[in-house]
Amino acid sequence: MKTTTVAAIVRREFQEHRMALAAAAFSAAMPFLVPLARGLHGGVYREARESLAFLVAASFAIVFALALGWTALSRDLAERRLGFYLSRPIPGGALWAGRLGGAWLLALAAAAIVWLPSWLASGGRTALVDLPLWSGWAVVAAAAVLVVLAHAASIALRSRSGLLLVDLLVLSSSAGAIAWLARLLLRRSAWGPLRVGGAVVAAAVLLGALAGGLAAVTRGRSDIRSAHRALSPRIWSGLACGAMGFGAVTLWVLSAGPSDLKLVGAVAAPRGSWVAVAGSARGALTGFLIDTATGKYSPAGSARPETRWWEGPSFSADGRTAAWLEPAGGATYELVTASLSANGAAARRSGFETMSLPDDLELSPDGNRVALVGSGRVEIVDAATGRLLTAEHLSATYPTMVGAFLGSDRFLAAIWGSDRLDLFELDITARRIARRTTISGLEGWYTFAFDASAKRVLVREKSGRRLRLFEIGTGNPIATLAEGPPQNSSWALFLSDGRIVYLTAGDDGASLRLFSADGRPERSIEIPRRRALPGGEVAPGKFVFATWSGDTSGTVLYLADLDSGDVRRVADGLYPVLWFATRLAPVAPGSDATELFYSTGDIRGLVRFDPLTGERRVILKGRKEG
Amino acid sequence: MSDTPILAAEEITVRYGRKVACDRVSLSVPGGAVYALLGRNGAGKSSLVQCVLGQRKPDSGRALLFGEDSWRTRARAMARTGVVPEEPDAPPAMTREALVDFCRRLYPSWDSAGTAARLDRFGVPGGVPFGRLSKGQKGMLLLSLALAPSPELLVLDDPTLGLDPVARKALFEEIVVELADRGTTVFLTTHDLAGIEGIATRVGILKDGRLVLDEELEALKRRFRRIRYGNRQTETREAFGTELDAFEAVKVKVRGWGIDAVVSNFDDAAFERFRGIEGVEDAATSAMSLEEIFLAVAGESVKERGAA
Repeated sequence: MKTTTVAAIVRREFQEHRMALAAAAFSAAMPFLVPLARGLHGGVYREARESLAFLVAASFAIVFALALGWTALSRDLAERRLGFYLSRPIPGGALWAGRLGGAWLLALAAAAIVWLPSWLASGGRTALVDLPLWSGWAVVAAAAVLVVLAHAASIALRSRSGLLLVDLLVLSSSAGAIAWLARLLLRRSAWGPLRVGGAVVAAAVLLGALAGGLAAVTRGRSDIRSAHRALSPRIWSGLACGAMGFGAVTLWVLSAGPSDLKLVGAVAAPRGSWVAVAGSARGALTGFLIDTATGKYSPAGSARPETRWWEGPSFSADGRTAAWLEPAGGATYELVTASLSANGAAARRSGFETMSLPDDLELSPDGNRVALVGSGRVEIVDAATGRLLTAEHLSATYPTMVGAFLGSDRFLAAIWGSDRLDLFELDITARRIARRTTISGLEGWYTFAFDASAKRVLVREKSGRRLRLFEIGTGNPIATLAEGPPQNSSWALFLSDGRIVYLTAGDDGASLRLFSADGRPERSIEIPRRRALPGGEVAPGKFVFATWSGDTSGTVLYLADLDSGDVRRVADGLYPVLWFATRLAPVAPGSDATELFYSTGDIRGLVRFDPLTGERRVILKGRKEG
Repeated sequence: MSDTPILAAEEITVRYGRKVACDRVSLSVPGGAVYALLGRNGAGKSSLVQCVLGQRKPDSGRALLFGEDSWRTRARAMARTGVVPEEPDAPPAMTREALVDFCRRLYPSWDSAGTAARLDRFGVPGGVPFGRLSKGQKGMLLLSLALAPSPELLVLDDPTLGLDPVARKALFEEIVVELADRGTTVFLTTHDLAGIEGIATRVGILKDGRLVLDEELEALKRRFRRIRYGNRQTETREAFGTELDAFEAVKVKVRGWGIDAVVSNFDDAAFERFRGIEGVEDAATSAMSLEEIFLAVAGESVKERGAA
């Protein structure tokens, strides 16, 4: 392909369309005049002028690219005028490059003619802070892409051959396949892979259109139907390659396993060996249910930020069922349950759909019922059939709500008010709801935790500065367990025997205080650390907790014998998974959940560690971000 | 004339759906020849020309220009070829000057002065877009562009179509001058048989996509003759006898005065024997024009169709 030949053709394009360039030159005055006409002055005038200049220039580039791409070559082909070029010593490639390259350069020249005067008037600088450099390059690239695509489309449409139907069929089926694949990625918020897949499709289609457009000229020559026959297979190949590339990206994302996970959070089942992990894997938000005993895993949990995917699924108290919500198209979410056994996790869509995401999703102890709590109402759903058993409205407003099953037939719902905690009890069988109590007079930001029998509730008020124990039946305080200066961290929870642990940490150090079931102080253990996190009971009365002073990489794990008061440092670099689940029903002492720890450092992994024996096993290796 | 053909068609077949435009057409044009390809409209001439010029790929067979497959080496071959198409196909917005300027850059040798003189001689105005020129002016402009790089081969696809007699004459005169000056090889299709009769050296006739005749014009004219004679045996019946068998008659008409026949295998000695056949009286022979030969072979008046 001779450069001089291409240049001659480009030059001819410019000659033929010189009036269009004159129109662009005329339009270059518009950015100067319009802001003036609107009475703008000074910096505002300059910004308005530059904005308008860019807008008009970009419009010229796009319109020219489309119009010239549509007419260059294909119109000559259709009107049998290409023979003029073909009967000269012009290689087909040079003809194609010259005509389409000329169209592209014309589009850019028109844009430059419009934009340059304003740019020069600004002294060669742009005043637009929100006009990044890439937007100019985007116009340049978009013009090239539009020329190529318009040329390909024009040949196909102007040929008026039956092949066009096949083109449309291939196009629509490819678009459908890509849309379906994109939906799979969107469900996992896989924006990165989606961009990569989109770029693969765009590149493949563009390459197909480029190769097809070139072949249409070099192989079609004087006959537009031959040109179309040369074009279409290349477009189809581009589309197919794009769809396959997108499919490969999607498959790569979907085939990610726990070993690919950059761990964000984990939730351990109260009993049994299952744990739910969540994070990002291969650019997608994802979650897995992992059996720490067998290593079997299964995708689980909705990978969408609004579903708080990092919290993972909810588990039943027996650890045999997990439940979560997954987007079901539109703005609805479907309840999914999974039965967990040594054979693996068997997920099943329940068929129950909800329009709004609940504040809390709880499973009954036997896993047969699911409670969705939020938006002022409680819904109880049969986990097996997805049938709504009962739905009760508790509030006309939309307060934050949580709840817990009291056995399988009763449910305790709490409305988290600003200064009061309203507790309701729902009789599921009788479909009757009754206010259980109201704990009022609460101060500041507070958290609370029920005991296993749902007779007492611990409330940390004043942003953790006061801890009180209330009787749920009456709403009366039983005791004030602690009140003092603000702490860096404070945690209160019930032990399996009903006693209460209060773990606090401040600048003066950390302390672990033990209270009897009625709130009387029994023991206090001091630890010289500034922050603390509670774990669980690895055996009755054997409580594990983590502390650290700086960042979490310096975490030290302690095992406290609450009866003797002995505290033993058992590991470094670990902190318990259970800290995230203090509102859940109490975890049985010695269950697997109490032995699950995050490994700390700049990457986070998951480790099973027995503080009593020191036995350690890696469940998930940490993966670095990026 | 060189032994290597400048232009050749080898078993070229072109189809448009079920219609066969060219049916295994083979021909050869040696250097320095003026080959006139004749045929009715739709006979397949333009399809063949497109194949020869590398603008269309034959469904089977191949075309050669300068000994190379023209489909593969079109651009190279076009550097040595001047083309005047059937339909003037230059970009309508380009003026004479723009067209000359554009084409000039594509050829290593370009006779600017000669082209300007030729265009002036033809009366092609400057500054007027090609689309607004008359048909004759367009044809002359394209002929001038074709001749400007001094091509070794000139391909003209019905160049006189739609031209008035003056323009036709001028065009053929220009070709004659070109031939006289440089010995350019010419391959042309035309309906203007009278115009090419003086310059064509070889003639091919396409009929329904098949090349039914391909011969040197002189030999053709020697071979084709009109024979008129009386025959006593035909006075009482409308058939004629077997006396014309030796001449391979292609057209015979029995008239009141005798028989008027066109034969395709005339031979002087045979004619002398023919005159001696009993019953044959007043036998006379006359040469035929190319148009008459064409009509005899192709079967219908070309002029009437050409004017339509």
